[in-house]
Amino acid sequence: MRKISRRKILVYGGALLLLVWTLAPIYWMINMSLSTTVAIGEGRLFPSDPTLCNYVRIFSDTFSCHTADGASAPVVGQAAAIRQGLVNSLIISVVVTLVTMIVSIPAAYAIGRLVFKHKVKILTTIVLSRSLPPVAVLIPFSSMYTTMHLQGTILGLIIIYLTLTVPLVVWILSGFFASLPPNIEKLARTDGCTRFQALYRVLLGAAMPGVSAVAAIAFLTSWNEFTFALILTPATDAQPFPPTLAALFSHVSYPNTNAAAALLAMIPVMIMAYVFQRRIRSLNLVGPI
Amino acid sequence: MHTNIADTALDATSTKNIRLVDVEKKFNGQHAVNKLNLEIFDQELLVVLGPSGSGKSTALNLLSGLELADAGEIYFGPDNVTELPTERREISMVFQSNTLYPHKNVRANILFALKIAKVPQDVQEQRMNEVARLLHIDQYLNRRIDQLSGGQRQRVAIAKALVKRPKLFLLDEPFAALDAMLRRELRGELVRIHRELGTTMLFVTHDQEEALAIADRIAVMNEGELVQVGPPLDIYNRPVTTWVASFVGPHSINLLDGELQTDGGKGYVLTKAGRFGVDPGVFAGAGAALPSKRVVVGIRPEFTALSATPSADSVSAEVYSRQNFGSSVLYQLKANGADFRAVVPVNHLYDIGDRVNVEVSWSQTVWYDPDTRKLAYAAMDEAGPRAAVSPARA
Repeated sequence: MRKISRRKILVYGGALLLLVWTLAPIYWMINMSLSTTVAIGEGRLFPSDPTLCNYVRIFSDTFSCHTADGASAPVVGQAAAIRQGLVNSLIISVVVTLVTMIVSIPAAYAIGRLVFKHKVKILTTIVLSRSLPPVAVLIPFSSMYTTMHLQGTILGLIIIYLTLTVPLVVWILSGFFASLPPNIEKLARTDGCTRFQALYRVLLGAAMPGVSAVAAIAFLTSWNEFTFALILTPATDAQPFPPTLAALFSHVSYPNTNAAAALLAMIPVMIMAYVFQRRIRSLNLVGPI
Repeated sequence: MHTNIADTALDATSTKNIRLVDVEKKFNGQHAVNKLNLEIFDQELLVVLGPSGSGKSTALNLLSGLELADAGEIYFGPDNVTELPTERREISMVFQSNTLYPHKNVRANILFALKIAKVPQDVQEQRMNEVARLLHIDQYLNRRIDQLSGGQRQRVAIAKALVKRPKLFLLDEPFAALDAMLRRELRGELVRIHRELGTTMLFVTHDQEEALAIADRIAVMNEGELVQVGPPLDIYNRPVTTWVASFVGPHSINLLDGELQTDGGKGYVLTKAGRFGVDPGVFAGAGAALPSKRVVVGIRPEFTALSATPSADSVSAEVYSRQNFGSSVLYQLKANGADFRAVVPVNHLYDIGDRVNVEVSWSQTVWYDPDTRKLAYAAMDEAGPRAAVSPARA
């Protein structure tokens, strides 16, 4: 009995510690974003003057907040850039996710379910291509993009993000396909499905939890990407949200407003993490081999 | 619908019979199935029995249409289905294990084929309730597949196969992954369901015990060829080659090279294990059927008896080892240095090292030509075993 309860204390204590570790900074950001005065280190758990003015102000070129001492914070003046950044990020992430799934589902199906020569080598190559640090391929991409007129374009970013998402998604999804019961395509044929129906209705249906979870991963990978975006789209209309955010931080020295902007970037992440938590957990992340 | 199918009531002439005619299938230039001619009688439970690589699963896949034949024809009744794709063959299939749609619950799994076939909703419900009752899974209909045990999953798989009322129900080692107790339970269910519905079934297995236990007829395959077809007792009592004799049977048969001898008006077979006195009728029958005096005699361990006292016909042996199964004991014997197996009831236990005398129930022996390894004479008549199964039990 004593052993079990001690074990429980350790497990739950550890979980609690991890929770605080993860959530405390986010909590502080929310706290700050809803206030004009709370700053890190002040030790106040709730804002004394809850207000949404930080959120309004990053989208307005004229609106400003009044701090507790009556002074007026400076106008941010980045509304257009922020709006553009959010829209760009959304477009890029949605397109990347769609293309990733269209390309990866057949590839992952083949690797996960079919028997053919050099399968392992192909998968290893795909996975290894993902292990290069983005900075290492930046220079060739950058000069290539300049000659191809892709520098500073949304299309350019979409292409380069696909090199990040496709290998990852193929890898995870092929493991998921492999983990589905053997012969269910054949079972579908005996149930009266045509070859195409067997793949489309049965196999894809069975893979749906995995497919939706990796789609979320693809979306978040492009939504969160910073390095390529910073180098390839500086100060252009194609710039996605993360570098815009970075620019905002260096431009506005008002932490409460910065916290509000940073939280905007986190909203899709949080929504997806919440919606897909069970499905992401169900993925066989060890892979098919 | 209630039909009773005894072993003898099979209709070999029914126009609904399913036929494989000269069917061939090669993989990488190797014959997986070679010139296969096999007829599955309407409403029978035919078991295709063979070791791995014998072509039995290929035969099943050819019937399902999941593989297409390289040569030959397949008929479902009068219809040539050789080139017909799986989805139009009106077959059902149960695979080895855990082959159900993981994203659908039990109900949706069972109904899927009917949905594809666009069967009216009320008929779907009615048929599902029928098969669910038949397989005793009515209470699990709303469960997810991962909430079921292995046995329950195979029950669902069988229900799913039956609900569409197939022309042919194929089972590919459906119980191989289950533990022995559960396997026997589900085999019993299958036999009962087969009797009740009269669905034509083809059941593939490598387990000879399973084949003997459930089949109306057994088709024995080896190396891509059909070796023997017949009712279970026929396969057991009259195996056409020494290979079938060794493959089928609860205990591995004693195959002794020997020579027929006559000594003082009495017939003997002289083997490495010793000289057995043979029942006169059997001796005469074997002698007439064999081309020479040389023979391979097949003696099933379960048709022998051991005694402490020698007789004129017995052979002396020493107990090398023994395994007690509770109701019977398997003795591994050494007779003149040759191996001999005997399975006898536990009325007297011999110990390792004991001398025993082996007696044979000659009316259940099989005699092979040593050159062709083919059956020359089976002491058992066509009707099956005689009243007394073994002398030890008489």
